[in-house]
Amino acid sequence: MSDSKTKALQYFIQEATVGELEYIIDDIGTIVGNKDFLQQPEIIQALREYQERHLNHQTLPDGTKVVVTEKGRRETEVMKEPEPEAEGEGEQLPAETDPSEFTYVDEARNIKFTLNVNSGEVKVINDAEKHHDEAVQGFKEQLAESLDKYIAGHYKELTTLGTVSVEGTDQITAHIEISCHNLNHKNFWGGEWLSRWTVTHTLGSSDFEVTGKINIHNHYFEQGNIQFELNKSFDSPTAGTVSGDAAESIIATINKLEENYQVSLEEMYEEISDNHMKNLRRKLPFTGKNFEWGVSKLM
Amino acid sequence: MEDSAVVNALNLNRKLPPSNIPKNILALSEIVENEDEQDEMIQRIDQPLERIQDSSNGADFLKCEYNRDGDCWRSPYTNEYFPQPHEEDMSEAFYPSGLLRDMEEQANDMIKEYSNLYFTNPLSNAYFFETTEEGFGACYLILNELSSEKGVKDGQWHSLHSFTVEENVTGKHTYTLVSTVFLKLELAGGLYGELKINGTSTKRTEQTHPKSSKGSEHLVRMGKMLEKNEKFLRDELDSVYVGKSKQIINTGRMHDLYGTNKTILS
Repeated sequence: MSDSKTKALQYFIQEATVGELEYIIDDIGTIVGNKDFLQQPEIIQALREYQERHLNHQTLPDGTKVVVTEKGRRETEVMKEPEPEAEGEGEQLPAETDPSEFTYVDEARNIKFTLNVNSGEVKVINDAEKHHDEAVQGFKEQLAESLDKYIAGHYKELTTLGTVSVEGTDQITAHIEISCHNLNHKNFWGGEWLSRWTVTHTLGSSDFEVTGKINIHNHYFEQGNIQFELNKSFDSPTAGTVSGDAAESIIATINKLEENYQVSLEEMYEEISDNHMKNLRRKLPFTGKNFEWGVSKLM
Repeated sequence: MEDSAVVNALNLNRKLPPSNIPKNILALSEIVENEDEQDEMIQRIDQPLERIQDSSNGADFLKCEYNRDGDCWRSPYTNEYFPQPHEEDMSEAFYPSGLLRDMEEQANDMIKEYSNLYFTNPLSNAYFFETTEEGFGACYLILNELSSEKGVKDGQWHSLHSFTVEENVTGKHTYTLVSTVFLKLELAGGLYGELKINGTSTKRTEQTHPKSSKGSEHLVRMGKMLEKNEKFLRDELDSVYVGKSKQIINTGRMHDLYGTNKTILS
């Protein structure tokens, strides 16, 4: 396949909005006559990026839901040996690995799994993938529990998953990712709300700081193709104070940031309707009535 | 025919970014390899409007398939092609004449007057062309670009109204109109971050009227249809951008104004 053709296919996959990858692959398959392109290394990478970009949800064989994140991706070799690298030469891989299979950890659920980005197959490698430091592991579990509670209270059932990962041991950096996929393709729409928060906190201390971003992307496709995108960065840190439980205080701060942001959007909707849409095209001419084609002075 | 590569490419195009149609077409042309199919696909994908200058009177006019001949476009002001082609290349080129050209000139004046009432900074044109013995076609175009307004990075409205007028079996005139609007609005920064809305929406309507041989009568009927379709599309885009986006966001994350799951359950 030519480079430019591969680039075109990568572009289609990269631009696929939430939940629409399958349709796009079917369209391409019908046009080119087969789906061989899915085995190309560049396409496999594009499929993996799609999973990570949208913080896709996957279901394990036992029904547990996990989140695919870039932060959670692990080298496939690393999982074979706790002590990687070294020797080199003599090492023999037990079996050929499928290039479409990638390894991830969902730290909030302590699960290491593989995802085949082509077949969609998910396999559990380890369901007790814990942080080596007990205090960190404990804190992470509390954070995951508070996050789940928050999601259950504020997001539509079955649309949203969150995950947590933690770096460091005493002075920690926690990454909290929330992925809401609100799809209704039967009525020609779908949308996502993705939040990615970074929290710095010293275990046992009474303060923490939160930065992050929210990305919203909606697609409406009845009689057209209409896309709506919002990207908001929260670059200047929001300082928080622990009152009672640290994990709960952190999630409460995130709730407040998301809540305030969502409320601010109400003003934006009004601004679009009242100002911007009017400047793009008025509802009526300033005369207050339709254009009089019949009595135009030109006729 | 309905399962042809062209139809599938058009379906795929509806899932690609409406903000970058030229790029979508280039990419789709990589996989639709048959040249005839490629041409058909390119013709069937509405493209955002572009302007070109009529160098004899200095005024800009809009390009579309209906005033194009190869790499030249016919100006509605002077009925000449630009960039100016070699004489011998244009022996086959289309120049409307008689009633058709009269209607075209009047339509250009009318659409200009119309668009000045609805838009802040419009460029608008109309092109008329031959179809059948009894009928004709016309295409009206409007481009409105917001000039640096506070907080607006890019704002564009493109209307493409394409008419066919034909005499039907009962001797009446049937007007078919396909209207497509592209809308782009990008806002920078602000409390709610960077906003990008891009969309295209299409509306088809048909009307039948008693047969007319008067150009002015055709122009009035067509103008009214155009205005009605444009109003419909404007309202639809507004309600999707605002209403639908709000619905999608607020049914995913349920914010306190509308009650959280907890308050709904209790």
